[in-house]
Amino acid sequence: MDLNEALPGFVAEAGDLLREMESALLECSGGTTDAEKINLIFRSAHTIKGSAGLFGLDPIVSFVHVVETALDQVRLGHVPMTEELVTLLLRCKDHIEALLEPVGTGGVPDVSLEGRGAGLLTALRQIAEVSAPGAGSATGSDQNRAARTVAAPVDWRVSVRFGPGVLAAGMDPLGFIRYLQTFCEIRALKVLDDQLPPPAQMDPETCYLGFEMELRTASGQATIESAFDFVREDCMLSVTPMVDTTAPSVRAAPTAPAAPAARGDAAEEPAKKQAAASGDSSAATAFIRVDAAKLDSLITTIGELITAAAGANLLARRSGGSELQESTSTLTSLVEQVREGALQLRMVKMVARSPGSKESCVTSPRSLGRRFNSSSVARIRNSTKPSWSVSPIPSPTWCGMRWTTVSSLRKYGSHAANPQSARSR
Amino acid sequence: MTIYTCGELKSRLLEELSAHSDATRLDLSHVVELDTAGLQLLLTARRYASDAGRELRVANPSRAVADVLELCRLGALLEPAAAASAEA
Repeated sequence: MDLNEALPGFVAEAGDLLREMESALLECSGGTTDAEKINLIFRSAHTIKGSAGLFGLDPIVSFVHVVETALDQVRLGHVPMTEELVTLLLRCKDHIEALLEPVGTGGVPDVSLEGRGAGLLTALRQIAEVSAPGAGSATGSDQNRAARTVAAPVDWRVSVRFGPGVLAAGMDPLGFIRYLQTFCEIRALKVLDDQLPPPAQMDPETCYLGFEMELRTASGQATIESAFDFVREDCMLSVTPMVDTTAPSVRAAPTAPAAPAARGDAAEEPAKKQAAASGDSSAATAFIRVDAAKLDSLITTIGELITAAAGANLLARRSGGSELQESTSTLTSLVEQVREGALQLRMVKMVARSPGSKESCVTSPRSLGRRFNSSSVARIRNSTKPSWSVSPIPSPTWCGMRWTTVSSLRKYGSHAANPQSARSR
Repeated sequence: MTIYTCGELKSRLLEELSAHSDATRLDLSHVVELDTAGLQLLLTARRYASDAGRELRVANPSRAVADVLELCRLGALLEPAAAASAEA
């Protein structure tokens, strides 16, 4: 299990999300604009962007970002979901599909895509801009992140130290920082190299670095933290709001970023956003994170167990002892059950769960209990709609962090992360 | 300079640095990719040089190198621009 397998998983999953997005959009085109549908569409886009970011698929990230921003405007009620917008969004959806295709097949993206994408984005920005009413949101910049930055950006101090194993696990800390750049302005950054050992003892494949950053973003703490979801267990991360002393900010920096009220009185928009977010999170509260490597090793062991049991069964039959045969066949059927159970466990979507819900998930046995009682195939990324329903075994595993060896990443790098450099290497 | 090549590069780099005890320039014009592993190798090389009383600077950074150094606010690693362009 490695990134080679992870990537098709991502493509398959993004495909699922796009199909959901499409059907939700089609329902919207009937004139009904129910908030749940719009939320679903928004979340699909958001998830695709996030995942694409982790795979370094920048063209997808930047395109989906604008789509997501427009959807956010719709979600906040600033832009109506008109027929025109629905049509445009459907075309954007097709475009994302087209962008995904070469990723899936390892091919080279069609150059004409770029122009088409730019055209769609311009149209999208026009709709979202023109119809965005009110002083609050219409300070509109042309930038990609219009909606996000308009909502009163806040400064954050982010300090992250990566575990020694992250490089060998196939992750590039710089990638996380680049991803942060998609929704944050990095105002300052310091590479923490104090853990770097003397040159002679330095192991090139061990990560010694950390980063200290000052970010300005309208996205909340949870969003910043979620950028590190894929290394969460292997890094020390602290995200704290900065008390704004130097930068001339329109609004006071919140001292308690978690309290919606503290944001609300400064600007109406974040309050709405917060409300929308909390509405979301009530639905998307419970997530569980499973170490896929452990699960894998369990399944491997069970595979061996099955072989061993079959061997014992055969020997028992040859030996002719009926008691022995009976006991081995009981054993075999039990092993089968264990195997079934393990495979079902693996069908769980091991997805980076909603930021901020980690603790509640881990510490709330009730929510865990409910999850597992409801079905053995737990729907981890729960939402109002089962947007992450169970799919066949191989596909959901991509996000299971089973990134084992460096060598296995070569193939990944060569067809996805950075085609040019891979070729010239 | 990536995780794939760093193992080999590290020994080569340090060998080169000790073989040329007066070297202070690292020409990175042919680097097509620089990741975190490459970056910390670069920082290690700098430390190695500074332990020997030298200041190591990057000359002719390729696009990939320049991007990372900019992202990480490590412009100080570069040779002063004038020197770099004069060499180029």
